[in-house]
Amino acid sequence: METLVALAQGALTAAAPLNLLYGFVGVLLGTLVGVLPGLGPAGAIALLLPLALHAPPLAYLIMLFGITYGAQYGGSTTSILVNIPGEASSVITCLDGYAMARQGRAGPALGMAAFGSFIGGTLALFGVAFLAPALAEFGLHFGPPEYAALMLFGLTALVYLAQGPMDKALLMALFGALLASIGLDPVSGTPRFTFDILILRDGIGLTPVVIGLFGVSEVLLNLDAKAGEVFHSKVLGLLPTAQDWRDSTAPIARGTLLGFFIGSIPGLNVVIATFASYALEKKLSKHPEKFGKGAIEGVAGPETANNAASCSGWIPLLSLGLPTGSVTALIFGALMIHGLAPGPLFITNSPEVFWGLLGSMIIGNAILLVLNLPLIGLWIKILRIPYYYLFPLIVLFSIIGAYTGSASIGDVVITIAFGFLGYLMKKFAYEAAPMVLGLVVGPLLETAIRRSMIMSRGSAMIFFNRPIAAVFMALALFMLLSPLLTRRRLGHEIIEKLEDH
Amino acid sequence: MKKAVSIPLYWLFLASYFGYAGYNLGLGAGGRPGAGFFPFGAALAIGAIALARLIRLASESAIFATTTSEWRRIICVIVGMAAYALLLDPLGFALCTFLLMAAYLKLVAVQSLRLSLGFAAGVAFFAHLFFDSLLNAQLPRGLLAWLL
Amino acid sequence: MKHTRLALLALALLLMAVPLLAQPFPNKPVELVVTSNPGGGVDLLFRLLAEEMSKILKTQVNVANQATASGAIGAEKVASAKKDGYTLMGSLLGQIATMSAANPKGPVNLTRDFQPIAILHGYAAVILLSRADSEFKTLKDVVALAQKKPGEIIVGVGPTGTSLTLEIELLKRAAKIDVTSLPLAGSAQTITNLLGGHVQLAMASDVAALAHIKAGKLHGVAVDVNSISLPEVATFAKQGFPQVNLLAHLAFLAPKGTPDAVVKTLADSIRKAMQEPKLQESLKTRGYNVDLRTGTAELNKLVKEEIDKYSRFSADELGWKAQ
Repeated sequence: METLVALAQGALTAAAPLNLLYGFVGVLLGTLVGVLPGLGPAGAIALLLPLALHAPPLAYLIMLFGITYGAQYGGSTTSILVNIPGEASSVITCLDGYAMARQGRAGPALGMAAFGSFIGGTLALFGVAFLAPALAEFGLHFGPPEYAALMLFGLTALVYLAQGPMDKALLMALFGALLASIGLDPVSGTPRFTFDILILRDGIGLTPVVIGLFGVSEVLLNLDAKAGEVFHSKVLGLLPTAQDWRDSTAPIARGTLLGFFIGSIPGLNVVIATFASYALEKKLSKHPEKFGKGAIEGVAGPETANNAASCSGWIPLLSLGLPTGSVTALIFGALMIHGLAPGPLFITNSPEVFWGLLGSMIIGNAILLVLNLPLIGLWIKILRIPYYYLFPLIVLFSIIGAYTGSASIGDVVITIAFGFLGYLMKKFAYEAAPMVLGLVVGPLLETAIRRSMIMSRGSAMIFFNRPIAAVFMALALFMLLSPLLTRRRLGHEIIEKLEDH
Repeated sequence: MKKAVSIPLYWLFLASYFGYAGYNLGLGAGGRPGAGFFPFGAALAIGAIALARLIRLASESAIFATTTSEWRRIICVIVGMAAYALLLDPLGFALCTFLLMAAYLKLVAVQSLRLSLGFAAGVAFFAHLFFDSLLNAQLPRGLLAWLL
Repeated sequence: MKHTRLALLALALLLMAVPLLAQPFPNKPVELVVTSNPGGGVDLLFRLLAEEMSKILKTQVNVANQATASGAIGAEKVASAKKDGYTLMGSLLGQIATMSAANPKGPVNLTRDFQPIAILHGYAAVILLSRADSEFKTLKDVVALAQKKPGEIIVGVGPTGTSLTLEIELLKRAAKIDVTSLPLAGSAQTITNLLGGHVQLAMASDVAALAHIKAGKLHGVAVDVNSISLPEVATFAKQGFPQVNLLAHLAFLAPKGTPDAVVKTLADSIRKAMQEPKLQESLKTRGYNVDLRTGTAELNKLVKEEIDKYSRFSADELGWKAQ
């Protein structure tokens, strides 16, 4: 009960004119940053750091927080419209969102993404308010063996991401994992596959890869049409239909829960929550073959999950004072600038700040919904631009997006290379999503396993004699074997095998 | 037929390179996987799958209908991007954007020179305004630095 | 005639340029390339200083982050920049010393390519942590228990080549003990793993550990330099291991060959900035030590000592395999 009171007070604080103003600017900037591919919340926050020394503390923090979850709203926009993930976490939205746009249903896709984001974010915030300390404690139990088991479980989601033949999807995932190993080995510090090129020491970033793989390759593919054929997108309706709502309710609910819990585990990229949601929805769907061709569940679930995850991602920082990613590290710095040391006693020592921030996030989510819905009409108009004028802009935005990540030409080269690769992949029917999964989960799995082996000094039993790890190992095994157990999926497999050879 | 088989061959080539390099990096000892263990393992798995595909495809007559009708456009877009990347530092953001937009519009979209230049100028101007002035995104100034 | 008019115009322009050329340093913005990620401890301090310096020098000092490849890219850029004092580097001295020690003939060499302007000596401490409910209270406990169970104690350390990893190596060598180093990604991860019981000890920055020590969850066993926020924790040296001495210094560097007058102007502005009471206060509350060193002789000595310290390790241990 006191939690609700505290939350209400926090919301009141956040609604003070100055805080509201900064909050509004924050979510606006966040949306912008999310829409622009490549420019992530980390970059925007870094740009605003000099302001930290002059702005009022709470208002400034509200603005920074606004940027982070605002970006999750905007990220889906370009994914749906032009197949460029605005944020790495919007990659999955490209799959069905863009397909829907090509069917003229960009409006419902954008609308459902906005609604899902709102519901996921707001519910997650209530979850944070009530469960933060408990979840933070739980998160501490995740050591390397638990992460390894969790990632293994996550890889089994691969089974449900692939539309085509499994062996091609596996090839892509393994390839993604190989690419991710380029750079300094996080465990031993040995440079791997860097050919003494300095820029490669930090590895191949996820952002330039997905911009090229999804965005640029799509441009190349569209231009490959016969001369005179202009890419046209008819627009049917601006908002989701009643049927859309019926289809999306359950995915949104599941996405919220999934995103909330995955996000609260320290160190997991929000992307993972979106992959998990997509895989779950596909598994539970009565018509899995529709996924990838414009199933709105494939947009509603992941978009909800990524907002829920980005909200619960604050738990390790706010409850324990542990920054678990680049954005949280920046916010940690911002809190330090104002002398608000985040730590286990943060909530107790600075309740106005904690509850004020939570309250501001709830208000912010509402602002974002109201902001984004009318914008849908504007975004749709962009699709009306003749492709001959649109594609140079897409290419330009891709280049800028790739460049601004770390101010390096190297990232642009990567985008170009993966753009071409993505084009070839589409021609030869290889999917990009499994590669992204491999790229993200591969290194996490590898470092987790190797660290676990160091801890256990060579014994693999460490994955089984620790309770949480054992549970996930069992789940992973179940996921691997369950397609063989369910006759329905078995039937589908047989049909697929007959179809594609 | 030829095309279908060549893809698994690329995979095998990739697998052998990464497998070799991974092995050299060290597979580790005593239950401690080394830096090369996972790349080696992944390469092995890729190799196995590719081999399986190769065998399966070689024993069938696979019809692979992949046609590219507009090679010129594809090459143009890619070369354009590459040139942009190379010239970004020396020429600067605004100038490069202008050139790229003009080139794309003229060569790929095959529009008139006047339209191409006009479009390019507009985009370059607004992009500069937006990214440099508004967002302060640290894009290279290059040749026009004295102007901006 | 036409030519006369042209000549007069050229002369006029030339005359206008002369006062411009004669302007004292600095007369346009200065770029400070910080080889660390934005928002982190290192970056924060440089930003605070840059702001003060801007006021003193009456020109903007802009921070540009360039942390790629552990700062190597930024270092290369500054080393080859014009030696006019408008491009400077702000780095963890250890980062650059590491590259120089591992690969003296490589693209970045501290003594060959750079001129130190000022050094913030031991700006923050690295602390060896244990859980408050564990038996590790002093270094003696650690050494004793490690000798009883060789290899069993797990210490969470940082990425290869950072002082978070190397200092444990120095302790292992000096005390002749065998503890298992578990490489993690940084202070936040080592602390998380320590709190969760996955490791028994952890190396972290004192700033990151402070909140947890104050909350009674963690205990400070030793620091490498006296920590301003945790004065009660004894240093490695005090507890008998002076060899564990990879103190973190922050350095302002200019490309080698920058004119002495320019270096002096910059050093003076940094000194004046550090004397600002408000800045000192805000640095202290954030746990930064404020031990500023300037003066060519002393700085060169510090630089040489730093490279020597890191030369105790192989290139592999430093994370820079010889090319």
